[in-house]
Amino acid sequence: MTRYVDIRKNTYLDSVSLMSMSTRANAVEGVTRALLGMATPMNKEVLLNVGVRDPAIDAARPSDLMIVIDAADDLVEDAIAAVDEILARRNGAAESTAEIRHRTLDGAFTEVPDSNLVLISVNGAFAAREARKALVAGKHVMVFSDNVSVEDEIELKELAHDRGLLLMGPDCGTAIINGTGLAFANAVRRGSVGIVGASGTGSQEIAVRVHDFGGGVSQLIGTGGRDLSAEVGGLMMIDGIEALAADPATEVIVVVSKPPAEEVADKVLGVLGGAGKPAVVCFLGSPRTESGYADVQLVSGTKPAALAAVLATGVDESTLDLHALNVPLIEEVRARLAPEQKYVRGLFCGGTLCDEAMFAALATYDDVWSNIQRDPAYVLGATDASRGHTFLDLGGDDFTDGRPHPMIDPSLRLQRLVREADDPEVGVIAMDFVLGFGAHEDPVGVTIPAIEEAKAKAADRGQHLEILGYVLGTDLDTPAIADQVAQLEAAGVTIASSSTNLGLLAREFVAKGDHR
Amino acid sequence: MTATAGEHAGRPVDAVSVDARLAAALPIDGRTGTVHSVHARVVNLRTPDGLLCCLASDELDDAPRTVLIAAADWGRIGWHRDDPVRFGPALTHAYDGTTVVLAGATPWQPSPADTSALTPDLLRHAAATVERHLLTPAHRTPFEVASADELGRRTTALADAIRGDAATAVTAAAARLVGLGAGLTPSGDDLLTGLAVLAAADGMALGRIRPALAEAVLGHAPLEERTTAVSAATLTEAVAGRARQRIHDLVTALVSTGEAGTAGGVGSGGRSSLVDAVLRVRAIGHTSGADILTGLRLGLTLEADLREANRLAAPTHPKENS
Repeated sequence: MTRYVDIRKNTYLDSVSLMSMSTRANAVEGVTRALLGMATPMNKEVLLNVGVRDPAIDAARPSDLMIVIDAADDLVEDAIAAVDEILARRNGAAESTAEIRHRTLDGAFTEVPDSNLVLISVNGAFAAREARKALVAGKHVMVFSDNVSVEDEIELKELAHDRGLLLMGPDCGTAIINGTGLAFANAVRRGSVGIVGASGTGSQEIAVRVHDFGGGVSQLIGTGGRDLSAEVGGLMMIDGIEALAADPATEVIVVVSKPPAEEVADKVLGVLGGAGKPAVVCFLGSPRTESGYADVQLVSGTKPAALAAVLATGVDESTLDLHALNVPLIEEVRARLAPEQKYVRGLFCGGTLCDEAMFAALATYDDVWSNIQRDPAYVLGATDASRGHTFLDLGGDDFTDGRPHPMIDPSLRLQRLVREADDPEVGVIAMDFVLGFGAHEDPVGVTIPAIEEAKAKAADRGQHLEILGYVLGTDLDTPAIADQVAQLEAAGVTIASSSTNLGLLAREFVAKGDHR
Repeated sequence: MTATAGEHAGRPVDAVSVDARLAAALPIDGRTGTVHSVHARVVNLRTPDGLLCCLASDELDDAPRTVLIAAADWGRIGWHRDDPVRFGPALTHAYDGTTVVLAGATPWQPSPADTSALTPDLLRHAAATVERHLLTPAHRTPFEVASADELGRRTTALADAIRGDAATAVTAAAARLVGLGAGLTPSGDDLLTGLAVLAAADGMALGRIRPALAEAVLGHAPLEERTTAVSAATLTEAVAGRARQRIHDLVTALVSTGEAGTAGGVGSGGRSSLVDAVLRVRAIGHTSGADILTGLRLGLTLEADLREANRLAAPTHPKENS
């Protein structure tokens, strides 16, 4: 074994970054241990206690970052290079964002006069004002900010409509415009499927499934989650559909949303019926089964939506791997669970992914609890313990107050994962891992130790705890989906091939035959 | 970027609020300090006199040595490490001319809280509430694992020293926590911050350890040789009874549970104000919030013991005057 000691002078990384880098450094092949800490005298004592002694450490000062890597002799150079790359990426990311900063919209418009889209991510109290400025300047707008009033939303969308511009949002988490991902987005092939989504991770999931089925995405337009409410009336959804109808690169239009207001659903379906292109509609959790229009197909989930869209572009279904539900796997998992292990606990970063899994469970079970349950009798708060079947959207406002979104900071989910493993009635813990622009650089790697701890807790009382994971991403994302899946499989996690399958598998794993 | 150099001329950024003590201490003679470090919502500055202070987005709460800037203006503070900043009537970035005006900012001081009425039972209930929300970290880095044992041992030693009521032992034990642990503000510092702020509240019997804690932080070798600069600033303020507003809010919530009059009021509802305050403190940083809560929990338990001892002993405990 070889020890590598490096001191980075005056390195001030916040604690979340330090933890993330340490986790990644320890996951590098060949590294048996990577220790990262600030070089205070007491922390030097800690290193001495674990047998780390080096003159460079003695000379370091409290403002310096100590990096100690123990690695196998023949792999130490690779390990050091990998750790260096992680550190450099971290520094590079910080610098590159600083270099392209424009301080005001006016300044940016002056310096980049041919810009035509503005992404707004400021405190919600000021987002409408900035969005209005951008629209008046003739730019399309994506508002990532939340906490914008519905009155402002309507006014902005009407202003955008009058000027022939898009107003995506507020609280719009994803878009792909002319091949460029905005906010949270995945690297997908360009193609002929156009998506308009009122649910962020639902849109990401459909884009990724379209890619997986061999198709590609022309545009992904986000509307913000309130667009299909009775108040807003689908203003952006309808403009988005019309934009895709007019787009020569788009052959098929896909719409995804949580259940809209009835009259808005009718209006959206009517616009799609007259769009002149085949359309697929996924209103997750809606009881509707018929669109009323020949060219508009209603589907129940994100995977059926992507499949229908790809087939509508003319792909032969017999050439596709449909990833049918793995029935022998279900039997195998059921056999490993004890009779009392009858509940699913879902811990999600993606709201729509949580929704889809919850709706799958609700189709079979009654005692389904969530912070996003429609039935107020089954709503759980952020500090409440899980009950029965529980599905938590950890990106919900109640969980993100004062901390970053779980796609960026996984710590709350890690704590919850280990806590759920204390309940002997839990059979399955279902989790999503979202890759892509804007997301955590290694969502799986940072979760593996907690997964191992959770499984060990169950094993200590003689139980098998089934961890079911779904990685939302593509082979083009960084990190690539294959790397993330391989890490999960090595940790004994069962992989679902889609959000839809995740919900179905979780539900079926704990079904005891008669579907209580 | 020279293209933006004149953009802000005559368009100052008005600070929203400022730590009143900082406002009084900042130089105004136009000398130049530097940007010490830059984070997403905080820019740390070193004044020409060497004092570390910061500009922060008002998405964060008021805090010692902090000037809050409206989140909508935060994007205009595009300052980089080692950039020169002039400390005159306003703070002015020497390269791009961005000016932060403090004149109209609301002065901030931590709100006082009188804990005299809290019974030992209420204090223990509060400690239990904090404990309930102190989740065990699901994942610890190897460095956190290596430092956790030391942290545990040295915290126990500090508690024993406080119970033993020997000032020199308290100072020695607290000094062994300074700079210990993972993070930009090491865990030991965070723990001491929680303990020191609680001890400084009005009516705390634990107030008697404040000189010993101050000695541990300020009386040994220079603090910036024992911990990170940011943590040194935080700890220095903490032993003076000053910390982020949400930590003071927690102490205030603690007092209001006592005013509600029943022990059952503490932590009995999942959404009680104390629980909300605990959760807001827990949300600080990656592990800092939990470490601060650990210090607060230790303080609450020790205070309960002290008040019980005082109640059972003679009307004036002889050690109270020592």
